[in-house]
Amino acid sequence: MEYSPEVERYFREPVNLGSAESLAPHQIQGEAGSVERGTWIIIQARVEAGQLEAVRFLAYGCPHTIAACCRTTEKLAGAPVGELLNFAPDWLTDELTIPVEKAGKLLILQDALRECFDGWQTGAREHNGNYVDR
Amino acid sequence: MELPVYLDNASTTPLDPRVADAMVRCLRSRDGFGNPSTDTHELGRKAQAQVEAARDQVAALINATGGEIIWTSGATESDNLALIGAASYRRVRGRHLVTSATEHKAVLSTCRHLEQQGFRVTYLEPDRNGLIAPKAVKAAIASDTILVSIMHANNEIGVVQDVAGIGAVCREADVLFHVDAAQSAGRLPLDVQRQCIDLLSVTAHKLYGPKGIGALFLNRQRLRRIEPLMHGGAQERGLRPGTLPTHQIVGMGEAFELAARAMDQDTARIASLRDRLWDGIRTVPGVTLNGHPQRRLCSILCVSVGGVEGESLIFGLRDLAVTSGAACNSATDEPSYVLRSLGRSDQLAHSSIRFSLGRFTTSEEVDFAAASFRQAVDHLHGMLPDRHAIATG
Repeated sequence: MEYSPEVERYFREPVNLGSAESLAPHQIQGEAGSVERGTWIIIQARVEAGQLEAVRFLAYGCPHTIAACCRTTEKLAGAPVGELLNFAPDWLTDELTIPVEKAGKLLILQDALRECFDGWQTGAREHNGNYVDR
Repeated sequence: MELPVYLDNASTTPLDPRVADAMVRCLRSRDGFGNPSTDTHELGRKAQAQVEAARDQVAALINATGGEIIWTSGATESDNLALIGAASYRRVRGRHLVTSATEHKAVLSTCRHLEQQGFRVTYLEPDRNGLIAPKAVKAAIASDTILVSIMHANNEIGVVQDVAGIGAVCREADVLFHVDAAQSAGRLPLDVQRQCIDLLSVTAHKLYGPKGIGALFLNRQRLRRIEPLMHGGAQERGLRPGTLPTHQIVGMGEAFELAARAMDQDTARIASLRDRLWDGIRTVPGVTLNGHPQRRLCSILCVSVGGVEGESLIFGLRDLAVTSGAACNSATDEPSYVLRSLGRSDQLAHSSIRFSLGRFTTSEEVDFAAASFRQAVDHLHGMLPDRHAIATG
């Protein structure tokens, strides 16, 4: 398998690596995939005033998956929380030169981001619509 | 130390310089270029003499005679010729074969082919350490069984089968016994007489010889002939037609003679390096040894790692020339069927790494490999969503 220089760089020095308590206590989290499926991703984010103040990830996956998590979390930092829903894998396949057979792994990343957004929405509803900072 | 460190000797070995010298001498000499099947002139006869000398060198390593050696292109062709050739020749006696589920694809795919031709094949499952018990072979032999094929040493996990025990069972039942010895020839003692072996596949390039040349041992006392796979010439007594590649044959002969001379010394040195490597990585969290802890080849160390994705592990080890599972399966995304047969999960089968050491491996390279492995696994465990996965795989 060939890897682009960007994938190699992110793999060697991953950015925005999370941990169990990295963004606690104001943390929302989304999870998708499993070891059995070959890809398992957790996205963690801290939201302040409707903005993604910090975004982290943990992953079990191939080098393309790890690079995709790095690049996505970089891009989402500082964006409105709604951007978690707008993630489309296409730009990543071009930017990181991810082969088409790895498209399914990016969909798992998309699922993790969506679950993260759902977590934020649930939290917001629980706080009578006024919830912005978790 | 040159990078990447080569630890893939089970896939192929580098050419021993002494073998290369012998081949070059043959290629450059007027005594080597004649067609060895032409005996009407001196140049043909001189080439033939070199071919026959190499035949004796190969035979000597396995306690056979030169007349029992058939040149082929390698172990895959030898396996095909042994199974298809013997089964076709003996089909009037019966149509049942016995093999194991962890054989090389050269045997398994040939068995599948024979099934399409109307043969029945029993695939024995190994125990959790990869071993096939002789009594399991005995139980599988039926009244119409004509051939048993069990490899000597497994190419992925290095487990060594009890070929003498299985050979005795086959001899008692008057069933032909084929052994794929591609990995073990020159690394373990082989004696086709004592081990009751009727057909044996070997290749040069796993033993510091050239690629493209191998041999099949055929016990002439037990099996007068087999059906050839190809037609078009009387070479190799009509069993394998085609002009013989004298320089490659000379290279294989030299490689096998060198192996015979150095086997004890090589084996002890390589086994000690393998153990040094294992000592360097055995405490890494999640590491499991694949295959029997004692009954294994000196040169192969196969491990799996919990909580690590296989492709990332291989990428993390890019300064090492190693394979994930088996080179023959690396092109596919399927988990290793050998490791699945041992009961490993898909994750552990995917995250398996085969280190295979050889005559030219150094202790410095082994230490570097152990450090690289520890670093790569630690790097990936640091990204893991849940560290419990390290233990559960």
